[in-house]
Amino acid sequence: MLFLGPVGFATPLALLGLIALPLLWILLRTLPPPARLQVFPPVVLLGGLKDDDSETKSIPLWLRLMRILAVAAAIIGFSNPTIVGKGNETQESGKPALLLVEAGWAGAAGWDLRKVEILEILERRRHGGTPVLLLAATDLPHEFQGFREAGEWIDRLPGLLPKPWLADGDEVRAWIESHIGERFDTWWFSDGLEIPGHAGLAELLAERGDLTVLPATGPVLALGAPEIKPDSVRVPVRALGHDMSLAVQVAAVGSGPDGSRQAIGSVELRLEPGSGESFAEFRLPMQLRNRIEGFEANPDRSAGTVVLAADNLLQRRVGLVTGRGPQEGGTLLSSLHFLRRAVEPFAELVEGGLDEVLQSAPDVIILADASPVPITSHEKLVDWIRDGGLLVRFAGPRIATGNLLVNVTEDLLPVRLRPGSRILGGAMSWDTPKALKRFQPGSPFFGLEIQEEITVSRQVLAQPGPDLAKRTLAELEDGTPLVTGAGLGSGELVLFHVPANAEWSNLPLSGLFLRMLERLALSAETSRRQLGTVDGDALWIPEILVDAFGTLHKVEDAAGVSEQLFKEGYVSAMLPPGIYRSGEQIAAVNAVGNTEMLAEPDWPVGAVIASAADSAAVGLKGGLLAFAVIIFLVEGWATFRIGGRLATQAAVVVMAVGLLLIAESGEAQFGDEQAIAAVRDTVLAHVITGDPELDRISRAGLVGLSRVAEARTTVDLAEPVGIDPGDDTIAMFPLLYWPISPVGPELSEDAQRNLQEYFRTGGMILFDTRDALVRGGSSLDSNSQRLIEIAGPLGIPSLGIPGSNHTLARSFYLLDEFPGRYRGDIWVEHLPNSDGAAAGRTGIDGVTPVVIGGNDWATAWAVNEEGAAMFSVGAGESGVRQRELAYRFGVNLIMHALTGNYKLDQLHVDALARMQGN
Amino acid sequence: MSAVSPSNSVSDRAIDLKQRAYAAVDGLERSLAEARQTDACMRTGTHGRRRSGTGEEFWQFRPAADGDPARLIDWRRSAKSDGHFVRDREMQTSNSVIFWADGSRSMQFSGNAGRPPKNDRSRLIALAAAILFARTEERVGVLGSPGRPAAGLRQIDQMAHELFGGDGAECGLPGAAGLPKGARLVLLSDFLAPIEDIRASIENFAGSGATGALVQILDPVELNFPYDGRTLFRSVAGTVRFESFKAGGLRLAYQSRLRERMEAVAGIAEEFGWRKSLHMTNSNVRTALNWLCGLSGSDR
Repeated sequence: MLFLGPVGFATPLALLGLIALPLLWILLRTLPPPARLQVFPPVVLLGGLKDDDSETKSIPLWLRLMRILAVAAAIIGFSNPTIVGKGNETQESGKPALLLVEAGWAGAAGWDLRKVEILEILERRRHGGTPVLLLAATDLPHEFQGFREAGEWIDRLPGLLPKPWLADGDEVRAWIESHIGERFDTWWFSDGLEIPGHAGLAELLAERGDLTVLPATGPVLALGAPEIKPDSVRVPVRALGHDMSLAVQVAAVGSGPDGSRQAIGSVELRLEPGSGESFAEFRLPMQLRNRIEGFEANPDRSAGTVVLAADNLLQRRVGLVTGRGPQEGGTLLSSLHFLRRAVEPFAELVEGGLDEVLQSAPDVIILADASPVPITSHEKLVDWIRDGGLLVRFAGPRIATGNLLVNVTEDLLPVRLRPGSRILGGAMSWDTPKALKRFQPGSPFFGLEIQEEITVSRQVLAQPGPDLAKRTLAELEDGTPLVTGAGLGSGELVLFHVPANAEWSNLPLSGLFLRMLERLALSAETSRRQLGTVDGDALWIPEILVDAFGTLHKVEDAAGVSEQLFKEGYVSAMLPPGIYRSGEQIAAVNAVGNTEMLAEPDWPVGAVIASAADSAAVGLKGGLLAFAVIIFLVEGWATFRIGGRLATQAAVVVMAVGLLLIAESGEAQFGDEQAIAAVRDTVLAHVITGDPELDRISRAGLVGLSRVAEARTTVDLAEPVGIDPGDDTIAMFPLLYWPISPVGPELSEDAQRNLQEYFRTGGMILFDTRDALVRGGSSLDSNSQRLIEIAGPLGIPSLGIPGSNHTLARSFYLLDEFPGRYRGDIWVEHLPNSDGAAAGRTGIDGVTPVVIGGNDWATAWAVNEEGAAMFSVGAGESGVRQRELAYRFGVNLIMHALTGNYKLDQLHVDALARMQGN
Repeated sequence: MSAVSPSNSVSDRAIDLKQRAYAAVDGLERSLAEARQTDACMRTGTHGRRRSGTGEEFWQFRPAADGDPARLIDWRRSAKSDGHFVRDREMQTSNSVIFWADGSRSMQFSGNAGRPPKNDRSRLIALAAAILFARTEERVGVLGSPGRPAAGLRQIDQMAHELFGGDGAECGLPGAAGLPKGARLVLLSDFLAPIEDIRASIENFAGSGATGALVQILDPVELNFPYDGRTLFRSVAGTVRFESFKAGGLRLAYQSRLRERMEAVAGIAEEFGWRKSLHMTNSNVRTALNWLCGLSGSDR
């Protein structure tokens, strides 16, 4: 972008056309309007005749001016000018001026405009002749070189760049106090965020002279640190300083298969003004979630909208040591069951014997009371813990009886246990079952809400000792420990003093149990890191740094950051945001930690706030081009009056239209032909399976069905098409025929999303496994298996066999069965209402989203080019009948897809009444 | 040249012209024959010369002189008297009609792509009239042609070629060529050459005893002057130019000048006892043919 005064040009090269203007001027002055050459034999007779007046010999001045003006307007228009309004004029006081530019990440999004504003003020100062100091608050110079000529700063302006952290008001204040003694006027270019020490700085500046504040050029958008939920990742999104609702797209990015950064998922948000914090919630499959490396928001990209995740988002792997062979007793009595259910939502679960579990290198290993630990594995387990593993154990009858040496030695318990267990509220006890005490701040469970109904009626007790209090992570009302923990090497041991089933306590039944385990699992990594760098000398070396504009840069040989500074996490020039490594550990530092901390700045009384409207940028392209077009039209009319030639006018009109088209281009878009056709007509579609023969049959089948439906009904069908479910145009097809073939690629994620959306918005898919003939019993053949694979992720509702009064059986023909080439049952969405008709999901009119069967309909429908059936169905007369029924099923299906349940109660009232014998 | 593409050779164009000429006179003959019967002014064909010579009709008996072959003696007349008489016949000759179609550049003009240029129309009229005259035993020819005027199909063919002669001059004048005695001239032109030259030329012809007709052929735009705005007028050959900034303002002045010119041409014709007609290229050929064919013999 090129700036000339308050006007910026996005396409400055177009301005070169202005060079041609003087030339044009000369040409227009010397050239009269071009004469039309007319061959005319009796020209001799004209000799000596005189025109009335020869005033029109050259182009009149006003017409010349008009043409020049039009061309100039068009040229300037094409250079995409943007005018940036002047801030409020402040009285020139003659005092030196301080231009304080915050230049933090929050200003990055509107940096170009900001520079225009700065330039404008500098220009005014240059004319005024007062000295200026341009100070970037994020990048304070070491030395004060005095107030200088505005022209010098203009020269330096291109080098002024925002930094990916926020200015520190206290630092700036200290700098000004120590360097500048005189009085000065201040222009404060705010980024729209309250910087630390804001009030103090504002006070100082107001003291020293007039303070003019130039508010942010646009809203500030920030993403906070992602929060990990059991089934999703939430990213807080905060926007400040916007007075209209703001559409924001937040994308989770990660490495693609080729190593490039790409969006894994994205969420659209609409932020209303003053709505505070919103959340972008990503529900992603675990594998995808583990690939997330960060989040980005658009538009207004800056360092604040880029969140790097390092590996914090990785799922923990939890090993659950199970015994071999089936357990005695019911599932609900098994502690493993509760653990499994509690761990599954947030972690990757590995089950098996201890050896197997250890081999999978889990972050956490859970040992239930009954879990056997062979002596041979004991050593490995201890090593694993010393390396940073987290062992979570549960008490139980075995531990209570002190029968420990059989399996595990005592050193794998955080505390020494008293033999036996304590029973509260039992038949032999006066005590009532005890509830839990609030979690203490040091506990990993701190902040979790405790439901009152959770009670513990039996527990194992620890030997009192000096360490006990320190090692207690959770305790009961009476202060006896419920969960204890202790470090071992780099790792940690945690013991729940109750078993993981409901026998001793109802804790495992509660949601709290799940959260406690989650907290423990999440702490596994952090605890490892903290324990590993306990010496405090570690250096964190930046590997990737983010600049203010949110761009990632790989850095090498950058200076390390000390552990202490790193832990403080105060993002500044000392600790720019990015990804840091210390030894094996990787951690991310983000420009915005907590979005709730962000606030719009308050300005002291007396500060002049240049209104935002004044500094709003106005694009001039459209106006200038329209102006040029109007002038061209007027000019054309005038020329016509003078020259009387239609050709000129036509040329002018063509020119004007051309200008308009150019001005409008960019909005013109061309859609997909198939999509256009599908929207214009009703089109049946089949899914392309990749098996050419199958696709050919599908197509031929739909052609045959389309012909039948067109001939017999008022449905107007265009040529059927084959589609790829990954293509989002499927939303335009009322009915998809999906033959299942054992081969073919997996459904892509796009396709899954598409299909879910398709179902949700009322689409219908006919799945055809084409195996009704061979299917028998409960075993599934490959096609059905494949159907399960395909349909599994799509969220298909529960299915049922449609009765004879289902809409599908009556929407056009009255049918008892739905045969294709074979006669087998079909399944449709199961409707709770027994008559299967009136109910149905709201909004989609009771149309079943899926019809599943194996009757190989396409083969029965298929016709060749001449319209003759391609395949034989059945034998003899009954085969003809069966094909007819297949067509009837198809017609009904189309009707059902197109009309919903409307046909149900209207069309066949008479026939139905007759059939019922009335 | 709308009717004939210029890339064709002269002979192709001549054949095309001939075909169109025959088509133009097709059916016209009968009306001409009717006209002749009603003694309209269409006495064409051979004319008695009122002196002895070769011919069909009896002219006089004269006494045989020395040298008269014996077979010429009319014995029946001679028997009535002593002398020998010879039967003389009245001399019969055909009229010659000589055509001149202006071949100059200005005749190449057509004001509208849908209209034939003026020279095409002039040639068509000339040849069609020649066909009609030839059929009534007149001898026809092209002015300046080396051959003598003659009647018959071959002469028509010959003429069709000869009519394509043109000199590339801006405005055409009939060349002074030897004319058979008592020839009739048909001059087809736009008569835009200097009026004095036209007069001198016709005076010359009249002096050699010829009579004739002038057909002034003009394109409608030459009459209407439908121009407006700034226009550079140029003659066909490009030798004369005239620029007007408001062509529409000149319309009346031009039209009065053109009328003067037409009257001047008509005046010349009257002066020498010729006839003059105006033919617009957008009107029917037959009007011109009808007018022309009433011409032959009308000088009596």
